[in-house]
Amino acid sequence: MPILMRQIIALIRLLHSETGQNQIASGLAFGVFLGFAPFLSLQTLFVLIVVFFFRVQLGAAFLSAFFFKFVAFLLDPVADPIGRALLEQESLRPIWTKMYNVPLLPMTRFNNSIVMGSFMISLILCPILFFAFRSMILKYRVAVVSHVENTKVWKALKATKFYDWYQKYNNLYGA
Amino acid sequence: MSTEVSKPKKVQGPIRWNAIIPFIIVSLLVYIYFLLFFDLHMKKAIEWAGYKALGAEVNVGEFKSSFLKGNVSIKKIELTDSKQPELNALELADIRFDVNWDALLRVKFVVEEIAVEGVQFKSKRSRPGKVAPPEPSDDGPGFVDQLQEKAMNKIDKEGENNILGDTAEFLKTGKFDAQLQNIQDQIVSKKLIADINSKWKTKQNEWNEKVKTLPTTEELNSFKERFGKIKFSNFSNLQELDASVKEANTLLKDVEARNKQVTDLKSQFDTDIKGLDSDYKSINDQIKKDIDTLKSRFKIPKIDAASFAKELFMGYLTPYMAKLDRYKKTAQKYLPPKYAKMLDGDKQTAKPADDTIQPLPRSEGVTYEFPVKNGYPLYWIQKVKVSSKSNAQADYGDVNGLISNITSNQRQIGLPTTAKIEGDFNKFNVNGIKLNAMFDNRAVDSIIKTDFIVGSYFLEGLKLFENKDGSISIPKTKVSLDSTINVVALKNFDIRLNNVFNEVNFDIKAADATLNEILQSTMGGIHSFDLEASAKGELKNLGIEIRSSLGRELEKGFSNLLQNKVKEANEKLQATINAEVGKLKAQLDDQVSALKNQTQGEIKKVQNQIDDQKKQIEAKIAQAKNDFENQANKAKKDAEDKAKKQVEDEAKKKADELKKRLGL
Repeated sequence: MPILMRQIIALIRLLHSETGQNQIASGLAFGVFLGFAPFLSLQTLFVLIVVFFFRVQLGAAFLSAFFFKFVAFLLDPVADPIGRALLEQESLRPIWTKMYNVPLLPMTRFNNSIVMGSFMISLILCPILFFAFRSMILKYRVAVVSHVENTKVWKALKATKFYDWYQKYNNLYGA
Repeated sequence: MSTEVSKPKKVQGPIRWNAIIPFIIVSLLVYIYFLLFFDLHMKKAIEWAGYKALGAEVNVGEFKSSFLKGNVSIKKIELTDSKQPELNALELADIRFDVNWDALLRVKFVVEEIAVEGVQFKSKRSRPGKVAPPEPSDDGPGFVDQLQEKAMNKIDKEGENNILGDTAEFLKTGKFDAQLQNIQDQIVSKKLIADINSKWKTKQNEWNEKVKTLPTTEELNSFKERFGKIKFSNFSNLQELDASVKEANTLLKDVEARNKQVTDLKSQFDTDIKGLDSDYKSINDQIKKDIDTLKSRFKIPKIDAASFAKELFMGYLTPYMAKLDRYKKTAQKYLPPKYAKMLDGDKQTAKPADDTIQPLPRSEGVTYEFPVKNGYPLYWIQKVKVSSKSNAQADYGDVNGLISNITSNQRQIGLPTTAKIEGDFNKFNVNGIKLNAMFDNRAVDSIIKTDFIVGSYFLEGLKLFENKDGSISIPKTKVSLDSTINVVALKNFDIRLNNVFNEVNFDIKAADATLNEILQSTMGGIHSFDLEASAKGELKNLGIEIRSSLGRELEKGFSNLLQNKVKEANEKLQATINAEVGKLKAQLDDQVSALKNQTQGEIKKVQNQIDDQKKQIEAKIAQAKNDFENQANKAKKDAEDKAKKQVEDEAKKKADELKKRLGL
């Protein structure tokens, strides 16, 4: 839990910095995969490895996964027919049969209609959401953060000793 | 005011290098766990699971596994004998096998060959093993219950007697005339006949009432009078005929209504008479039962080979059946539910697998099963090679065998599970062991075939019979065993056991001198005999038979001496019963015949009269119709002739007139 809290604090800090929009956007986009895929599956493990080893904002990924888990439940009635249509497609049957007989791949549970449908939805949503989140972060920084920084209250706060101490602490121990 | 010079931040690459170290640490911890603790935990898991499954302590000397090489080696596996915890039921010195990595990546467990070495039975344990308390028995009857219930006569069990004991008792007294005087209260059939008698008395009263509802002579005469008044000929016109027919039909309807009532009563009476047959049958069955009970009470022995065989070998066969019960319970515990239910006789619902896509409904979505082309079943042990050879250090049995294709899906691999094991255990003087087994689950109805042969083994202190009247035992005998078990659909069993006892010398002790003499003279010369036992049918209702040449010999020996005496006793008993129940039975016969004669006669008489009346009316109506038709036809013809003649006369007259005019 402390690790998760630290990641979320880091996310808030990163959101208010001038860099890191790609890290946050990719974390939020990867969270779609985590939210839509079954918890115990090969693709979940694969996405976790990716977000862990690459500079993807973990807090954003976990927050997004938490949010999209609920969305996934709501989208099950949509994912199910998509999955069925794909798995029952006669022309795709040789591919599914091949995949079913290949080591490890059955562990993705691709042969389940909801898993397949959800995966397809997340595959389509992932790049779209990446660019959408990226643009939203930039707009947030311009519209909200700049506006707050120009307020008298914020300027007064910045002039206090407390803010200096926080700044020093942040420079020393911050991310 | 100080000016802060902000350091340019180092640009970070896309890879999070600071995550690699924790990952390496976690990997190292996993590796250390597998290196130091996994084998220990597996050893403990096998011991725990073994104890839970077998109900007796299981020990594993050493468990060694290599994750990368995929091999496992287990040394010194000891399975405690639950009956003798200081001994092992089975000890295996070494088991080794390699796991197929390709299958493991598909989450399947495939072993090409398991080597099992150093097989020992009844080896001494370093300390007595822990034995789990026996589990409460289930509701269904086991093999042992069925053996005791069916092989032995139920009355024998209730009377707690035995053939040899009865014979001794019978030889001592052989007379029970005095006891026969006081058996009235013990004859259940007497009460049954009395009950049936009173039932039929009530029935007779009922029928007397019913007979009163039959048409009386006055009523029948009134029908005759009405019939006599109806005109059936010389009708002057159609209206007269119609009125007569209507009147006749009304009478016919009245007669038919009464006839229906009589017919209904007759069919009721026939039904009652049929019930009487079943009453007679139950009386006869009860008389038979009474005779058996009294035979058992007066200890009249059954001198037949089958009874002797059952009596002598019950004790010997019970442990075998107890083992089968144990195996059945274990199988029911660990088999998938659909197969476990079949052991209780429930029908299998499984259908043979096909290669089409089969959607399986789930709580979420549908999971599709695609054809498995080159895959493996969930688990598949291709070969288990069993081999052990005795040596100077350890007295293992000399065993060689091969168990093939233990798998979760025989249909997928297309092969049945087979076992072929041969060997000798010289330590126990057990030679010529041969096991041939086959379990085929490829078809809808599974087949299990097992042949188990033991060439020879020695049995010591075999007690065939023992009670206060004496004992029969065999101090030492060389036995051969040939058994087969065939099971179809885990439901239909055919179990056969064939024992031959050689080098036999009976130890006979009987309190009664005559019995002792018979047994000595009969069994003294027997040095070899056989025993055949079979159990066939569904598990809940097995047909059990026990036969033995020893039983046949005893039958011969006892027949010479006791047959006449037993026959006489049986006849006396039968005569007593007949005398007791005969009077009541005769009363019942009289009552029933009176009922039959009286009621049946009355119904028949009335029915004949009504039938007669009905036929007369029908015949008269038909005749009347016929008469009227003839009369009508004649009138029609007369009218036609008259008209024709009139026309002819007119024509002739006109012709004469014309001739006159023409002057011809």
